[in-house]
Order: sequence, then structure tokens, then C-alpha cells
Amino acid sequence: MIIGLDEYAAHYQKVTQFEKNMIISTGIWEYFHNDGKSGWVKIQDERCLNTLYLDTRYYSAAALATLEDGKEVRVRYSVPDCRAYLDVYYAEFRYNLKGLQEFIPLFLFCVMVLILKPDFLYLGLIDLSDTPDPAEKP
Amino acid sequence: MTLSIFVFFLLGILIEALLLFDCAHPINGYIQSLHPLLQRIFSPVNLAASTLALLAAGLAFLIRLAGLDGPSMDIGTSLVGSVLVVLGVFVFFAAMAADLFIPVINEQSILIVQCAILASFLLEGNQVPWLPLLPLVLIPGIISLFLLFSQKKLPPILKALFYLWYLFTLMILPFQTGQVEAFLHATYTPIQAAVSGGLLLFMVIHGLFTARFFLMVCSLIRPRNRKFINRLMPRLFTDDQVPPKSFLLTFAACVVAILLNQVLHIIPPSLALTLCVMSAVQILSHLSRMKK
Repeated sequence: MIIGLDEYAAHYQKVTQFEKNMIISTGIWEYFHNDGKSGWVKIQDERCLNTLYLDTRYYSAAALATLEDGKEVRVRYSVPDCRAYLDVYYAEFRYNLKGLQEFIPLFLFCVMVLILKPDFLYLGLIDLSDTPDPAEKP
Repeated sequence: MTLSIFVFFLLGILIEALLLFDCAHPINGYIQSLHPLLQRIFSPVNLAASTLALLAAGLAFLIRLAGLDGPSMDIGTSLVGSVLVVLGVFVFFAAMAADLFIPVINEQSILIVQCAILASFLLEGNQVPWLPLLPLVLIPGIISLFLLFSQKKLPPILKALFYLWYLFTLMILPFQTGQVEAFLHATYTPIQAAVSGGLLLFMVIHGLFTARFFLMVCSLIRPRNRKFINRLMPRLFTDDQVPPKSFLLTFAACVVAILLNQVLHIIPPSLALTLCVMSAVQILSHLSRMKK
């Protein structure tokens, strides 16, 4: 789906009430094809779980020139002129930290499994009754 | 994806579920009066898969005839969404709390997966730049070659580590071949849809099981937990190798299929490579079981 920011904002206007300068989506800049005049940016939108192709005709070349793969971008909706803007900022460190934070519950879960009984991991795979395994040494 | 294409996508998922189930829990009921080769060809699973394919083709034909094949559907469409949610819940429990779909593997299966990733690496370059792909693939490849020739048997804990490595490399394959991207954006033909459905199920089941197995391996830090892995590993990783002739035949069949697909352009090359790996793992699982 290739849409411009205005269409994107209009799409969101149907489902949500905008506040001033509300961030309507955040994504990671993944691919950029730019000959200085045309191209598109793909945003893996975290909010609507869709991949959106934003038509780059809407953005200034100076803003686009600052972008690289993996940079975080966000789409901001501005109330006074009822237009959406693409905000680009350098947030790699924050993003990485966010990535690490996602692993904390998994890490805690692993520790819990190690401390408590890990039997449930084998549920359905082996017989968990106390019958000794004939292959095991006494 | 239109409704008729979605029918083929579901067909791929169902057939793959049948094949994986047959790998993990052999379905009996062969026609005894037939020649052994014909018994294999007309096995209950193959007959069920063919019936499903015919039903899907008929259903797709009816959908087109009735003019219901109109607008494109995606995961946001209620029909697609609800079917995928039901399937997702089933697959989650099948992989995380049961033993329904995980095929038993051996060193030869591991070798085929590593060869496929290596071939993709040599042809396309490293598509997963954040991973040191070459050592990641070469080390298990060399170890499995060594184990194949030396006929050595690994102790269960080492087997578990090796199996975990195999699962990780298997998970790299769709990223390396660009399959993940294709799942999201491809416009499918019926064959591509069926193949993609099957691949999706195979990868999701193995992906979920990777997470589960990772925790099992973590729990091995405590000695008292090691008794479980001793019992589990024979179920997942067998020491029985397929005879070299059959292994080479499977390998050659994969290479021929990939080359034929390059000429005939039936499905995208990356999809063909991943499909061959998936098929080879399941065929070798079957053959090693038949050897018993």
C-alpha cells in the first residue's frame, strides 16, 4: 500500500481523535529509494502492525538525506494545519535499549525455570512419571 | 491474496501439518497387497493430502465461479484473521505443550540445512548482516560431516547443544533467503500460496520449539535437570543414519528440483530452496524411521 502522509493521517482520523502533535505511529526506516525526486519509505508500523509505504514526494530532500536504514522515524499529526509530518530523530541508543528491555522478561523466566522445577518444559514430550528411565544409570 | 488463493494457503498448512504429524507419529494403514514402493506412494498421508488438494482445487473453482474471489484479503480481513488466530492457538499448544509435529533428525538433516544456507550465502551473499553467517553454518556443518564419517555417538547433553544450534540455523534460513519479506508482500499463485502455507507452519512450529528447547538447554546448568534431556534426546535426534545411497539420492533430488525450478520458474528460487530443505528434513526423518 503506497500512501502519502496526508492519506495516512486521514486513515487514522477515522479511528482516533487527534490531540495536538500526537505521535500517531513509530517505525523503523528500513529501505529508501531516492533519486532526489521520488521514492518511498517503508515503515513497519508498530501501532497498526502494517507495513506502510509512505510516498516520499511529500518530504523535503534535506530531511530524507538524513535517513539511513535502521533509523527510528515517527509520524506526528499536527492539529493547526491538519497535516501529518514525518519526524526523524537519532534514537539508535534508545532503540537498542528498548530491544534489550524486551529480553528482560525472558531472562527472568529462564531464571525461574532454572530455580523451580523445569518439568513443565518437557510436557508432552517425555513421560514425567517417576518411573526410572531404563537407559539411566542407577 | 484473494479468497481462492487463501484456500490454497490453508491447503499448504494442512498438508504440512499432516506430513509433520506423520514424521513424529507414523500413521499406519498401508495397503498391504501392494508392492512396498506403491505402498509408500499410496500411503494414508499421501492419499489424505491428495484428497485435500482436490477439495481445495474444487473449492477455489467454486469460489471463482460464484464470483466471490473479488477483493484482496490480508491478515486484517475478518475471515483470514479468525482462521489464522485459531490455527495460531493450535500451533502454539502443539509446539509448546505437546509432541505433535517435531520430526526426528540426524546428522544428515543438519548437514542439508547447513549446505542450503551455505549455497544461499555463496549465491546471494549474507542477507542477515548482523550475524556472522559463515562460522555459524560452517562449524555445525563440519561437525556433522565428522560425525557422519566417524560414526561417533554424542552424549545427550552435547546432542542437545548441537540440536539447539541446528534449530537456530534453521531459523536463519527464511531470513537469508528473504522468505520473511516474501510472506508479507508476495502476490501468490496457487502453487506459491500452498508452498508458502506449508513453509509458514514448518517455520512457526520450529520457531516456537526453538524457544522451548532453549529454555530446556538453559535448565541443564543444574545437574538434577539433566535426567530429562537424557530421555528426550533420543526422541529428537537419532543416531540412526540413512544409508549413504538414500542420503545422496535425497540430496541430488533437492539439487535437481532447485535447478529445474530455475529453468521452469514455477516458484521463486528462494522459496524453492527453503522448500527443498523442509522436504529433505522430513524425508530423512521418514527414511531413518523406516530403517528401524
